[in-house]
Amino acid sequence: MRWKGFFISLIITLILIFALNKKWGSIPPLGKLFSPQIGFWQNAESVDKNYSTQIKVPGVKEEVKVWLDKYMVPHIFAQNDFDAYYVQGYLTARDRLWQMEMQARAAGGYVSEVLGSKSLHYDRLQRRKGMVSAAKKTLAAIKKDSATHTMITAYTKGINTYIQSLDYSDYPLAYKLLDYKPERWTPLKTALLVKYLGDYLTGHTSDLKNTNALKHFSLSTFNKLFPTFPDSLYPIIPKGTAYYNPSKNIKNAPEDSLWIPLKGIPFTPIMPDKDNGSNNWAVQGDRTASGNAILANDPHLTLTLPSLWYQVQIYTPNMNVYGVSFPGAPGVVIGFNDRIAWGLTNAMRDVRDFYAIKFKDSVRRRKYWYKGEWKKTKVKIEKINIRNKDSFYDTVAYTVFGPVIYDATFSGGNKDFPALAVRWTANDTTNELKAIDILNHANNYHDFKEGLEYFDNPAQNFVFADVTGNIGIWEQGSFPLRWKNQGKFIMPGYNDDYLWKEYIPSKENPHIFDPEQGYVFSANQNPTDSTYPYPYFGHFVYYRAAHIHHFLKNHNNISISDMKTLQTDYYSAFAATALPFMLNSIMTNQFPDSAQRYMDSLQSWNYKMIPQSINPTIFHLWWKNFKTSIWRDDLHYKDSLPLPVPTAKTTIEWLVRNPRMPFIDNRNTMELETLQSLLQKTFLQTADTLNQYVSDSLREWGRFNGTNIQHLTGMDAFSHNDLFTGGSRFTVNANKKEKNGKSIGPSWRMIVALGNPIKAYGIYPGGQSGNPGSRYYDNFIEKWEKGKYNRLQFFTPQDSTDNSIRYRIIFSESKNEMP
Amino acid sequence: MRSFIVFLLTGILSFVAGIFYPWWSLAIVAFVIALIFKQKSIIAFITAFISLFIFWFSYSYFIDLSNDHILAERMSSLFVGTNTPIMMCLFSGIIAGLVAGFSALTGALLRNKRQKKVRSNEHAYNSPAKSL
Repeated sequence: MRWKGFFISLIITLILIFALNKKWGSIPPLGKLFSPQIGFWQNAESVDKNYSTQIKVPGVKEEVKVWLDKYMVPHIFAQNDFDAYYVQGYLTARDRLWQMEMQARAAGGYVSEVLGSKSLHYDRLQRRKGMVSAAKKTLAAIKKDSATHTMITAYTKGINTYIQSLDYSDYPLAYKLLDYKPERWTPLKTALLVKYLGDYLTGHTSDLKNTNALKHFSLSTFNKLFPTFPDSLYPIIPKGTAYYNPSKNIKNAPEDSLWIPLKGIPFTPIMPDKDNGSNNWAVQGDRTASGNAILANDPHLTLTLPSLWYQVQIYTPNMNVYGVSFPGAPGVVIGFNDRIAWGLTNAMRDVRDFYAIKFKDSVRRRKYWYKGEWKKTKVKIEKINIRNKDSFYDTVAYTVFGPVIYDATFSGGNKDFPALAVRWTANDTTNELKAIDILNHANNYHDFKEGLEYFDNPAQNFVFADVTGNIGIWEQGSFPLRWKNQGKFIMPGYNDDYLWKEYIPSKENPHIFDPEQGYVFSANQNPTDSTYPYPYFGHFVYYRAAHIHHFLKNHNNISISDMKTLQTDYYSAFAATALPFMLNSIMTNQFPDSAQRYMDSLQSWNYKMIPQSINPTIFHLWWKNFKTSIWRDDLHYKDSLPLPVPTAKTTIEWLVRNPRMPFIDNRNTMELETLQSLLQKTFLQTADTLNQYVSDSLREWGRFNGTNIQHLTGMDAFSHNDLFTGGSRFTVNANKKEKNGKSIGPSWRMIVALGNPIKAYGIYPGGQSGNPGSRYYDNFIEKWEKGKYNRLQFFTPQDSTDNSIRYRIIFSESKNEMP
Repeated sequence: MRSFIVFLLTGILSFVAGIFYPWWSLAIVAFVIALIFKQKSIIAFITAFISLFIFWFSYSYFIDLSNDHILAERMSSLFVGTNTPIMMCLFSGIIAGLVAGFSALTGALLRNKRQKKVRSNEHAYNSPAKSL
């Protein structure tokens, strides 16, 4: 009897321990996790924690001093670059280790190893894009250059020194929740992260959908539906600027240039949202109140926690730079030093083309048809480790064009279409770190230009201003020398006629220095008007640029507060174009009461997409319904091939040009729809939707379209959702919700006045710490939501008694072996 | 008095063991102490449960206070969907209490079994049947 009791008790005890020490599905090991000695409680930082300390680390050459200001931004004072990047690596890892490792995994396709087989398709896609081989080539280039070699070596050592100091109780919370361990950092991971930016910002492609469109539309209709140069335009390089003769000859398209594959492409590839956009501008000293040039930048990216950006100041005898860094990569990506400031927006030009490949054996993929014979592919076997499962081996074929992403073994579920190889500038050997290094040290426009030479992908619009009052802007990156429309559609891969042969010389990339108008700006619009000698196309957007142009043109004596006003401006130049046209096209006083009240409200609107108003919601829904009613019937055919959809700008400009344009009519109905009937019908539809909300407060734009900032794990408990923000993708203060519920918005707002001393302001929606148990995890969010800024503390060693310094860390050499 | 000593020893030694060994070392501590100290089985369970409950609860409560509840609020919203940090402290206490309690119970049952066995062996030795 007693034995029985003993055994039952023993078994219960062992089962309890076993169960609480193991991960069950998404439930973490609870015993470990809830232990106050080692579990998540150890991540709950005391709100009064004193961060001042002395840290002995192996390998620093001299003592490094770090001041932490009240925002927890580290200000690193080092005697040489090596020590500076070492400490940058150490501190970034201290604050963001899990995030940087996860993003490196996401870049290279190593996610299944920790999250299991649900990520296998994603991992395969990353490998098939060639991310790892591109990162390896880039790493070789980084190591070849002594400056970037120092950067990456020191940064990696700093991270690994930090990782080695950890045991389970110190692990960032996400490791405990997902139950795995931090891995050693490698320079390859940094290279992967550089490529990740390229993937994120140049990975969008319409080539596949465009190709499908040619099955239903003539080329001339296609060009009307998807024009490269819209009716109205404020390009980055002001209209009328003369371009010198191109040094390269632009080839004519081959005879069969409108080659169309036999079958359409029945799937939509997974790719980043094309509405990742940004604003930047610079104003010359003679247009500002202080007489100093002012530079502003706000990159719009998917907002996440931990934040994409990490603020840092790095001071060495030959550099004093402040700005945001990308956790996992050394240096400052967007920021300013004591001489110049720079900011980035995405260039939006297409640098990713697809070629149809015919394999001899579509499954083995060892040979493909090229120049009249079967040519051997290079085959790479990608091993993808999967948590709790056997590894998956994926064979990726490489052609002269590049890796074959889609083929019979990886096709989005359909094997009945040509294999597609990608030619993409992100797969080239590049060294963007070199550009970062030179920009961080730059003294003037000359140095700035030299740095840009090294920046190939993702192509960016670099805005520039310096302390002597100069401004400038460059669209920089490697751009293939195309004939008109080359690469807009899938091209044949049976010879090299269609292969890129050369790049546009970087000196001939669009740029301007100290223009007469006194300001430069970019907002993902066309870089040039149609007189630029080299053909290009891309996913350009327009309305933010139009508003920035008008604002800067109409303001003199510009102050920092004007720049804040502009960065947080909710004015929609699109609504101001579309709405008057829509209202003029219908009878606005003949709706039933339930709809008329929305119409009355809309008629008094000032086009500001502020969160407190219901007008943006009315307009947004109406436009969406209206646009859908125009295009839906014309873009759905029996073959159900995915087709591209014309932009809002193309749609409204076409309608203004021709209110009887043929696409208004619904092909599927007997009656002839008119502009008026569509507008009327869709407005009633909009009113119906709006009436489903019980009160106006629920119809407010800020409720309807508030910002979601999700934790990288997607766990709501660590996210900040439904922030009360306004804006749309057409407003300078941009805000767009992706289909998956994530928001794209200003991931960093920065304003720099280049006087003496330099005055700078900035904020991002998050906090310096990546730890959800820290008060510095999300402490900027409320201010960001309200459009307020932090003053950025730009120190020199003489400021050691400044009262905004909260904590001090001293790094010195320990006698231990190098890690 | 004995229960109080067991209570203190279990708590303190679990803390020390937790510094060097995995979290479940507290089970071994509770087990060994229950083997050494004679207690009724149910008392062994209760004493160890309370000891570890109080240790994990108060330690986490102390951390939670100095953290201004930031993390425990998030964790409670993750695990139970509400912002009740104290629940997380209770969870911690219950987890440690249960493991320690059952482990101590196991120890006590083993001890009592062995003692009884020794006693019954003595009894057998003196029994008339044996003397035959």
